[in-house]
Amino acid sequence: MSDEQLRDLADRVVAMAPEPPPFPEEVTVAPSELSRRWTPAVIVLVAAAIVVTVVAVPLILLAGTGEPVSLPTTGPTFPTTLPPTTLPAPTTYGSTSTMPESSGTIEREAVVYLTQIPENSVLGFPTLVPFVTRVVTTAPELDEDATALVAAALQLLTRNDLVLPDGMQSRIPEGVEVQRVTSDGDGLVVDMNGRFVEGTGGLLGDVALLNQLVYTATAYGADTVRFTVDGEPIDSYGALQLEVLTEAIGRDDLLDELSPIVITEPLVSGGDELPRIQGIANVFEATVSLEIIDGGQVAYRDSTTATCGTGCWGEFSFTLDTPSLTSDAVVRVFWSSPQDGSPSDVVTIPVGDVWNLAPEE
Amino acid sequence: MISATGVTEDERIYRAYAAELTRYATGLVGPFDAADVVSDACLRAFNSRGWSDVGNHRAYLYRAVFNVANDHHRATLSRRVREQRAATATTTAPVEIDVDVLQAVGRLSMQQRAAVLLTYWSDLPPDQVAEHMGISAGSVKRHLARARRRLEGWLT
Repeated sequence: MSDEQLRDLADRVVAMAPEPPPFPEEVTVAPSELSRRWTPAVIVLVAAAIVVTVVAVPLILLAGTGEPVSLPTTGPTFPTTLPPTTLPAPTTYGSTSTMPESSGTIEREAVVYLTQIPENSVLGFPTLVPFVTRVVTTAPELDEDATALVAAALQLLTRNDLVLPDGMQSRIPEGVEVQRVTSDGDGLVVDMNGRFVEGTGGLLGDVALLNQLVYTATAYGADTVRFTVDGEPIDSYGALQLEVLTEAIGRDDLLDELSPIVITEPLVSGGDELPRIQGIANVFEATVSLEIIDGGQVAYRDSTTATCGTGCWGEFSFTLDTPSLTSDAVVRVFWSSPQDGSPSDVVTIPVGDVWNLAPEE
Repeated sequence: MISATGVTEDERIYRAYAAELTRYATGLVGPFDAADVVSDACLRAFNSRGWSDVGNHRAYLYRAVFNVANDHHRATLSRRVREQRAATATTTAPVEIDVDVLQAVGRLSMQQRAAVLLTYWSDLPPDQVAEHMGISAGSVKRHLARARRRLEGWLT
């Protein structure tokens, strides 16, 4: 397609534009009035209503939920002045190959996403946490979308003998297989076996499974994933015969079925650079907090502001300016209840470098 | 701030950019939802805490429109999930305006639509497209290349 055709397309689509809407009068509401509308009491009432009406549903729909939650009685205190967030460039894993394993295979590091039901979760939806692990691929070089590496990572996730870090789960049911990963120029095409379209047996589990696969598949280059079964398009998926896989999907497409804090880059504690925690959040006033628990004590505490919040998803990033983390440490990322400051939707990230998720064969 | 003519600074900015923002939103979400997306985006921008410190209002509002359009896109997909959950069928009124163009644009991701519109309609160079989208110039080129591939065969 030529520049001229793209220009023609742009002109034709813009030619359909309606008249601009009138100036949105609501902006004349003074900030103080807006603040009064969202008093803590109102927020608490809304949150309570959401909890009462929504928590029961995901608990029923989810196949195999996490640990019972415990509600802390007091919340941490944080500085009122927050540093501005700067988002560092995402780290790339798998770009360097390591030692040859055996003839025709190469061991590489790859990122895979696992799920977790956050502690003190408001909605009970799962979240995602990425981990670096070792996989074996047969391709000596990586193509633009790293299809061989993605295939190895996805195939690792379908193993039923994974050794998962504490608190982590995989939503991929036994029997699901990744048959082939290719690139069609627009994104990845992931060919699955027939078991895949049966899903997990519940809506949230079905969507969590998709998110787990999509996030893992799009860790390198590709923006979207189109799923097929035995090479054929998928008309319906999961227990409720969803039609969400008739077209390619990306990371942003099923966010509403995830917990409001999602970790997008793996925590790597080794190396010369300070460890970073990066993710996306849709939380009250975009304020995301973090603490490191080491030896049963809070060893580090910080908070930051996501690029968007209170109804929209924004990116956040923490640089952990702290002495080296021990393997016993855990990082907790959460938002604070406006009522009492208690941590909500707490994502717990175990500290580690490269995880051996698949036992030796 | 209110000027001598009784027009607030926000309203002056809005009047300056509303038309082009509406055309941009049309390219992202189609003509039927464009006005809502622009209104919502401008409301969010004007009420955001950092609005008073914004230097490039135009770029900021373009990013706001993109974010709202993206949320709109996500909501559409999620809505499909919810609708199927409730097993209720919905019907959409047939579009009677340039259907070919809407179908072509529908092949593109939201980022690809934004990159095409800002490059070929706004005639912005890659670095300014990047600023308006809040991404790197390299990502802009990648989105354009993928949009070009995805539209291969269109009109031929």
